[in-house]
Amino acid sequence: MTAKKKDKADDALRESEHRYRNLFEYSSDAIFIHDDKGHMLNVNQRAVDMLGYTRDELLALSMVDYHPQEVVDVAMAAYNELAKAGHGRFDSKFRKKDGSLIDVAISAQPIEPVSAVFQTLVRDITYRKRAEEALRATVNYSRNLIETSLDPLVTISAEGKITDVNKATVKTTGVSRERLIGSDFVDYFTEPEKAHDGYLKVFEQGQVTDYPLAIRHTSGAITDVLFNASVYRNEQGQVLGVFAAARDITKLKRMEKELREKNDETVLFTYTVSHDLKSPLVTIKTFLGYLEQDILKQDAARMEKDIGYISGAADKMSRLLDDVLEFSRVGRKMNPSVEAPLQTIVKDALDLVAGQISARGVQVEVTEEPALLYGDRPLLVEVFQNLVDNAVKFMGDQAAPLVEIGVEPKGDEWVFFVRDNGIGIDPRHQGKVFGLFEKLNPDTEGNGIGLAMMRRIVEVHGGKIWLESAGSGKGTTFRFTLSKTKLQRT
Amino acid sequence: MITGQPIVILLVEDDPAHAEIVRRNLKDFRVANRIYHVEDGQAALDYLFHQADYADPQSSPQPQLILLDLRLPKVDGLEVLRRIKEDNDLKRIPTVVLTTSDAESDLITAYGNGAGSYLVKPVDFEKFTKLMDVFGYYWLAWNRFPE
Repeated sequence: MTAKKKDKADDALRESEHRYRNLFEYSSDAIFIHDDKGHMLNVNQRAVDMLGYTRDELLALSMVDYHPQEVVDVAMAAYNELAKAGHGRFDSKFRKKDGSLIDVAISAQPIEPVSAVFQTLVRDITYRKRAEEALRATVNYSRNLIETSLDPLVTISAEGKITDVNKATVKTTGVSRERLIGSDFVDYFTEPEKAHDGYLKVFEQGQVTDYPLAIRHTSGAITDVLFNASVYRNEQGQVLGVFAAARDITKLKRMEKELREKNDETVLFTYTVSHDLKSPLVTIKTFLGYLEQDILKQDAARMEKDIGYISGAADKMSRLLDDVLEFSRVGRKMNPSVEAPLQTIVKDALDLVAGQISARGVQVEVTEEPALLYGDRPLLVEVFQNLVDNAVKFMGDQAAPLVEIGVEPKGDEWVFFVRDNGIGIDPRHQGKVFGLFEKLNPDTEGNGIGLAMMRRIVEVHGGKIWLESAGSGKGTTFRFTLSKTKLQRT
Repeated sequence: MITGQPIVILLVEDDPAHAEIVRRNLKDFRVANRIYHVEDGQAALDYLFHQADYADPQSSPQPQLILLDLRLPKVDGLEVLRRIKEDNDLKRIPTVVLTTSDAESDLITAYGNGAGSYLVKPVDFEKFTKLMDVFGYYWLAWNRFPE
């Protein structure tokens, strides 16, 4: 080799070395040159910048030392794989000198095919990882919002197929997410045509609000809902489908129904009271007219009779007014609820009707079963008092009159009963006895408010009252329920 | 010219005072008419269907006219009316409702159940007397009943 040639070759080598040096030093990746034991031979400036160690400090460490403790095992395995294959890449983490962690992508290969010297390129991918995590978090956040919603949410394609649902939809329909997606939206409603119309309306108008539909659960249970839906678009403004949210209004509907019932009750009450007050008024006015005639005719006998009708009607009116006042007070002016054992309440009730019981020679048997009642004590006493009083009043010619008072547990309620062996109630008339001012027997005293009052008291305590009687002469059992724990005002 | 024959009237009225008013007015009008009075809805049905205490057609003859109150013990007047009009024989008996109720729902149901006429008891002596007077002329004097 001539000196000139050698110079040229030296120049080329220098040139090449210079280029490599540049590449090495100014690479945007950190480069670690090390032997097959991981002992560091050289590192570039980027490695120094990336990890915050000085070049000497880096050279004193091996590849494994850069990894934080929690990923060392995985990294070691990856390096072994890499050594076996001769090259490869994997993602891991590095710990900087200040202790902070960075995400890195690592690729390594031998510097020369058979050499035991490796060149490991390390790229800081912390930003990329963060961006990925941020995106994942955004997606998760949106998903969580959708899933957390108690309202069933669905997206529907232009063809009317369900494209996405949340858990509430699964819960309300009883159909799995997998089966819901791809199925026809209208299939889950009691009125599919109406659902179809509603969904067409969304496409026509861009949205619908408070569109009433009813979702049918696979069990048959119906959920009344109001749909709010609008089309959703991509960034170019093209309509992709419909987003629909259903608001469960079952509870609202139930309250509406209760309110309607309450209102009906009020209307009936007003009707009953006005009729029943008008009736004696007709009597008074008419017999006052007769009385005038009597005076003209000097008919003393008829005069006395007519005055009797007038005063009877006036008394009736006064009793009615008292009863109406008492009736309307229940539920409005209540004593604070207290807890009381059944036996003490029954004892108070029996004391109040002791006279009637002994006069008729009625035997009263009270259960020893422990039961705690919760409510307005005086009213609860009144219920038992009235039921026992009724039982005694309607004993008929029973030779061994008996009244039994007992209780049976049923779920979270008590079922109390007052049973007698008296005249019984014709099944045909049992429906009327709890009505206001209803009397089965016009000859008995009272205005027929007793059982209507009992029903009202039981109902304001959240219970129900009913009667059982096989018919005339077969005795009567009145039963009513009360919650075992709390007072349920309706 | 008045051509009426004495007829049997079934008065269904739970208020004894009101029954007395009807009786006095109709008695003033024509002595020969016979009024049978029952005090509740079940008794009215028993009477008309010849049941229980009213099985004997001699003492409980079939009426030509029924005067029916609405708010009655045991069986409601509207229900009594429905049962009368459902029966092939009884449905021919004109049934006049005489009640204190002027509720629209009662009027609609009563006519729907086959009431022939609906009269509201006036809270006024003169009017009540006048009403019974007109009622008497119409039903007892002019109206023709099947034999």
